[in-house]
Amino acid sequence: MHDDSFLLTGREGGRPRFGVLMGVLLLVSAGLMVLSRLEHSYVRVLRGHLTDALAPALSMTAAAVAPLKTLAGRLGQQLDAAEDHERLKRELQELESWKRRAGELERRFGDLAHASRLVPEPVVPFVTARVVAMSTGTFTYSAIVAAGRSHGLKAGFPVVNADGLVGRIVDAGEASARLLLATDQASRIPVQVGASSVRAIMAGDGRGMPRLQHVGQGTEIKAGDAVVTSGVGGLFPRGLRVGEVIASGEGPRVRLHANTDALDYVIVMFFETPTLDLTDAASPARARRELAGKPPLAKPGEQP
Amino acid sequence: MNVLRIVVPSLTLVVGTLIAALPWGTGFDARLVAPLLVAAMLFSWNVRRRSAVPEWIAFACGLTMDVTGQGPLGYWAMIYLLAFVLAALFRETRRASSENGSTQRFLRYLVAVIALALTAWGLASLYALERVDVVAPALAALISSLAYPFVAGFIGVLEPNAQDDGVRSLVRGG
Repeated sequence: MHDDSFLLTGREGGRPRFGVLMGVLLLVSAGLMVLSRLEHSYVRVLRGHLTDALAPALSMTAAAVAPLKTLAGRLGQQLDAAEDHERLKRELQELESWKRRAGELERRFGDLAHASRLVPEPVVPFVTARVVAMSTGTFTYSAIVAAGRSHGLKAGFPVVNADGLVGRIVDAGEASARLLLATDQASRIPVQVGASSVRAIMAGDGRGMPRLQHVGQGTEIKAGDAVVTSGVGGLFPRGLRVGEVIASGEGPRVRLHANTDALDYVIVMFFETPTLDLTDAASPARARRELAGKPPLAKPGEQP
Repeated sequence: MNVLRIVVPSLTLVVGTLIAALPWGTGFDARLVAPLLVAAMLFSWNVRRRSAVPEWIAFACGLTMDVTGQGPLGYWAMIYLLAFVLAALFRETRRASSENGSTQRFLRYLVAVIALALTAWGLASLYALERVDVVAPALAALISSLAYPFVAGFIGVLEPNAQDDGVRSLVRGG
């Protein structure tokens, strides 16, 4: 019997087990899409497990095609070599004067820091990890890095590369983690702009250059102003290099220094929101102990 | 060798999926090109030989693309299954018309690529409950169409003496 369905049999004249499998797989696909839309926790768990399982294969593939990428990059560099040479000569001349000025400023800053007994900022530990996959859909702008909880990564850690801020970790599996890029629609990063440190929020909108929102009243920013993280909210450390302001018809946008389309290795900073560990009378823990009639905890070096 | 005939198409698809997931720096508008090229390769294998790549491999590769691409699970899986179905349908058409010149082969490929790109756009719009940007699927369809000589040539090199044994044994329905 012939009909107009596209269900194919495994053998001529056999029962349509091919069709059943196809139907099941289509139903599973549709079901997964619905669960993804509902942001069901099972989907998140499944994605985490699958990402961990795929990470070694992706790392191997990335290592295998690395020479090809390098070759393509070198070909591109060769094509632009003459133009680059002239540009670099000009930049070198400008940098020479900047170098002298930076040296002088560094010396002055050192003197002032010493005179004012400036407390040095703690050094943030970090790991460097390879980006093994990029988003390939219309939904998110993210990447997968080949390092996870086993390497100390946690959700929320900022990610940079040699050029500047890239984004932050939003999901950490055992051996891999998802990196939400600064250009994603869900990305909101507190920044400060220009020499007067105007506060703003850099909001991704799924395009290459995020927008600047909530710029302070009565302040002015102009094209070319440097954008760095402000540290407000404690998600990102203050002063991370981000990009520069460009003018657009829809308001100011930020051209990121980091090329988020061509990430290779990234640095994940083990930066956690600073929390106060109060040990004086204002400590809630101490107050609770006092209310419960317990003696206060001894400070280091003291007898209770 | 029979083993190679079974393994090579699936292997090319799996490796192609992993390579497509890597960061190539192609830019935001070109983000659908690599996944659609893999779908086009799946179509090309299966339109050449019945079930050269089984449907569960197509599903697994689509799911891999969903996981690595951070999109909704099932999105590319569904598109890759559609590529499988289109290949089966076009094989039937080919059998009925007994036309299999290079122009007919290219036209079948072109129709499949456009249908897959439209599906990618439609599914994304349905998922987002709004009309999503059409530039990315259009660019992916254009580049995948232009890539036909490479896709066909690549498959031809891997399997120069393909026997269309599936055509004779293909039946419809149950």
